[in-house]
Amino acid sequence: MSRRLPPQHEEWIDRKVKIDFWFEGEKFSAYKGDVISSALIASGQKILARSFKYHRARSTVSMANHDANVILETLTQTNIRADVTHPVEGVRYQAVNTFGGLKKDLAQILNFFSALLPVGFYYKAFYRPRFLFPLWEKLIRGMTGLGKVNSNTSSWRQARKQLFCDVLVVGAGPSGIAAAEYLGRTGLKTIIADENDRVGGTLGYRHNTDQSAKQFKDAAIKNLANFSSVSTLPMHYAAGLYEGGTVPIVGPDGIKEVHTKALIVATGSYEQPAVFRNNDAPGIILLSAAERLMNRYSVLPCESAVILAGNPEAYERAKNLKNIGLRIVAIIDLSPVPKVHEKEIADARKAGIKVTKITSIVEASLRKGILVSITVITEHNQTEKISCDGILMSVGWSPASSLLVQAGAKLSYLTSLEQVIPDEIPSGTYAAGQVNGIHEFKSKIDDGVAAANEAARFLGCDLPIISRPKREDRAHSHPYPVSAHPKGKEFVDFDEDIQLNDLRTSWREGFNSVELMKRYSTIGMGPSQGKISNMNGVRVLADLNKKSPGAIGTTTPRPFTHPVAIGALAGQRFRRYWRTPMHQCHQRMAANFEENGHWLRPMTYGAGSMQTLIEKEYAAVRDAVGIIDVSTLGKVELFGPDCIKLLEYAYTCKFDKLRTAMTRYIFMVDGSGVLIDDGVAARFSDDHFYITTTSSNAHTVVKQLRLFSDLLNLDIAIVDRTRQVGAFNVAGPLSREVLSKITSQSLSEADFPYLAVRELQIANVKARVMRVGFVGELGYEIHASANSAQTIWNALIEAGKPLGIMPFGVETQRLLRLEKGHIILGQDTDGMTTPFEVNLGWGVNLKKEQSIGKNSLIHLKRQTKRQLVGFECTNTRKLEILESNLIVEGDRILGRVTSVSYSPHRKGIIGLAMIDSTDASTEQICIKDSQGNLIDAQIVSTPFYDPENLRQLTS
Amino acid sequence: MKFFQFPLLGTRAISEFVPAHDAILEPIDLEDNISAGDWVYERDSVPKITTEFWYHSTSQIWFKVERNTGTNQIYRAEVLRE
Repeated sequence: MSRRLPPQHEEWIDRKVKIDFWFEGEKFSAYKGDVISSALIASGQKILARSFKYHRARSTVSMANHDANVILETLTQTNIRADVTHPVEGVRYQAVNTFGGLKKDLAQILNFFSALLPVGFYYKAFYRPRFLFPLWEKLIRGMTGLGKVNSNTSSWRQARKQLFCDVLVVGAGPSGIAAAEYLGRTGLKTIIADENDRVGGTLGYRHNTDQSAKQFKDAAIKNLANFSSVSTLPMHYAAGLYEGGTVPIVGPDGIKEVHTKALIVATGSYEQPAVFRNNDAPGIILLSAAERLMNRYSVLPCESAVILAGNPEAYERAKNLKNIGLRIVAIIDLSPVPKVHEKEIADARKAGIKVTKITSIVEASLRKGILVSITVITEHNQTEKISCDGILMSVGWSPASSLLVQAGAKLSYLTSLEQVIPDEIPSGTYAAGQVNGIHEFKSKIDDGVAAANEAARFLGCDLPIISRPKREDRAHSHPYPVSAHPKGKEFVDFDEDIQLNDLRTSWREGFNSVELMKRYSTIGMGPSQGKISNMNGVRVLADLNKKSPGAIGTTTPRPFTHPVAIGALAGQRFRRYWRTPMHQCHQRMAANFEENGHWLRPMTYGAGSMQTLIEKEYAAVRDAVGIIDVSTLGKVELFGPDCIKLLEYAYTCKFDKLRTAMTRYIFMVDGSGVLIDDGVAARFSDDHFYITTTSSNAHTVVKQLRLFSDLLNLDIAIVDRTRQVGAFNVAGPLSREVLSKITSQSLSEADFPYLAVRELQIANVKARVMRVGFVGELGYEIHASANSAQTIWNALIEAGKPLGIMPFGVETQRLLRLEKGHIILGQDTDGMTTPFEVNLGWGVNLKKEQSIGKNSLIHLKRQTKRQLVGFECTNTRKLEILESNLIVEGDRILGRVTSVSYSPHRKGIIGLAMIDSTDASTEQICIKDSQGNLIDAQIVSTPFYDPENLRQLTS
Repeated sequence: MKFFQFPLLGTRAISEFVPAHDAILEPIDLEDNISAGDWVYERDSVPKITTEFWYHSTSQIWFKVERNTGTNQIYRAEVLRE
């Protein structure tokens, strides 16, 4: 059975190209350009989906993604909106939310129990007894949901683009096109976006029999293509309006962020369904859905149609469809105003269409879930049953005004139109066309031009004022297209299966405002976001409250106006790695790189298990000599007479005891006394210092130093040298021997003692060298300009070869410093850690007149409640404990592990843990590993390695 | 990405800036009725016109900015220290 019409002059399908796909295990054919729904309906498929709650048979309603009835999934993709998605050759599509397939959905049974599942059922039923809730939760979660995510599919990322323009026109219907064409003549940079495959909007399916409309459309599209200042973006919907005029528009390649100076909203309106018993059945669709099906895809929606008319345009539209092959059994006119459609009715009768004036609809009758007839009450109060397999509804419109509201517009209800219209739109945003309450075709064009004129004048164009067309004074929406039935099943919201009675119950239970009713009944909260349900909900609520819909208001339409895929939101990774000056040296030495903040750093070198690599590198440092790249450290040079003033304000310590040509360990706290950074300060002279910061914090430290210097009005120059200077650490008992081979200057204990800083010529390159001991061995930290650092590195490797020099990575350094008991900020500390908790009280001077965090530190010194301690497990060699494992005592949590590793020196597991200081006196702690096993550990004093610091004294 | 008009600098991406809401210097002595915690944490969150400090990280310059926190409108900006 094929419902395909002969070729239509505006059709979007290409009959020469056939696409075969599978739906629910059956093979279907489509033409290129078809959407999945049109192809299925063309083949006579009636049921396309099952409803969310009662698993009722459903099909499309709007053919425009304004409803979310037909959501499909494949093995790799979810959330496929069949009304707007083209089928792909060979792909197998499945309906979501069925138990055993679409045809024999076992959960259909729920339809018969719907009386037992009233609104708020879950809230009322499952909160008691509490212990059963996990069971109910599992059951409910199993029953609900719209599709399954296949977590094995590969991630799919789309780059995000930034576009800039003077005016963005959203919607390329008559008003939008007219606006863009006008703007094209002004030369303003314009983008016009439309969600459909092709621009034109209603011009392509409603006004396509009108010769003047066709001429307008053809000319406008041609002109738009010729303006170099206008770009047209079909298949893109505007997802929301953000501050500063940013509109994300979403298309097949992801999100484009449009930054615009003015916005014209020509989004049109969503046609609304009528509410009556069984109004959700397949075959009951909006008249615009029939228009789209027949004109775009050349598919007949049904064999014999009843037109439900609630507005004058129903007649004209019905006539157009009749002319291209729709068989109309009758038009039933629901209009409550006598004689308002008199002329239209007479014309239709003249054309041989039966028209019945009705007062209400009794019900649509179904057989096996599919429409067979409609029963109505005529104006003469008689019941009439009309056989049909399609009911096409034309009862009203709801403006797509989300973007306008997000711009700050108010909405008001115009009784003459029976429609919500935007009011008090802030300048810079303009509404045009049906969203603005303009329904007549010629006026839509005038309104678009007038809106474009306003936007252009707003942007400074000197143009004569073009005035807006008048709105009509007859209604295009039915004020209350709702017919109640004693047995219910009059659906207001199809996504969530909400019936008229559910709204009444909500209202009776006190949820009597629009926002409360929405949240209690969940109307408008499904995937179609209330596009075809909110307006009827408002009408029902207004009726219950005996107020006008205008007095009820509407819910707040927040972004997104339409769901956006998470993959599109995530965008593409757009982050560069920073490479250190020695990157190529590391590559030559087979480094295993990993991302470390901004940087790519060697974790280990060579092939093999992490454990053996670390052991090898560790042994080189402890027994001979190793070298590690520390170029990632922040490096800041300070010049000026106020260096000490700045440092003493920014850091916790005093600098008066730091002698020239010496270094010291420094750390910084914020206003609340929390440790935020540490490093080394070197004093070259009273007005020349050099400091290092932690790897990821260089920017923040420079930022803070500049702020302090500005606020204190200091005479100082701060130079961020992080990326200009390469740095590395040569450490190990033989480090002095290696270094002395490539420098002629003396490295003797007297000339270059521990913690001193010297400027040396190394391998004929000028370098700054600091004798520091982060890893617990004799060591030199060498800083040299980025373009000559490689020279020194290579010279050291060459000179160290006979002595067994090895490069070591971040992993080995972590172990070495742990043995030495040195902390790593951000690993052994968290966002609450004070210096006193990590045994750095010795570096806090509270006698200074003024320093950042001083007042908090005075307070915290008395309040120290946690302590970082060292622990050791002598009974285990295997590393079962992980960082962040808890320290427990019975049910109580005493703290957590911050660092842990196997120590070759102690031949056991060692680590650091932050524990409540009331328990710091205890000698034994109990660690709960990730499997829940309890492991005993001894609290021991740190450092674990060389507590007397003898390794620095080797001469 | 959000772009906005910054006085003195023109249209900039918001990501170029780091705001510090009220960057005031650590007081030498706290007033009697203010604790260290109050000084660090207690802030008035009522929408109003405030003076803030914004760091423009690409030029490494601190600006003093007068802004309405209710409407997010920036009235004035000047370099913190000329």
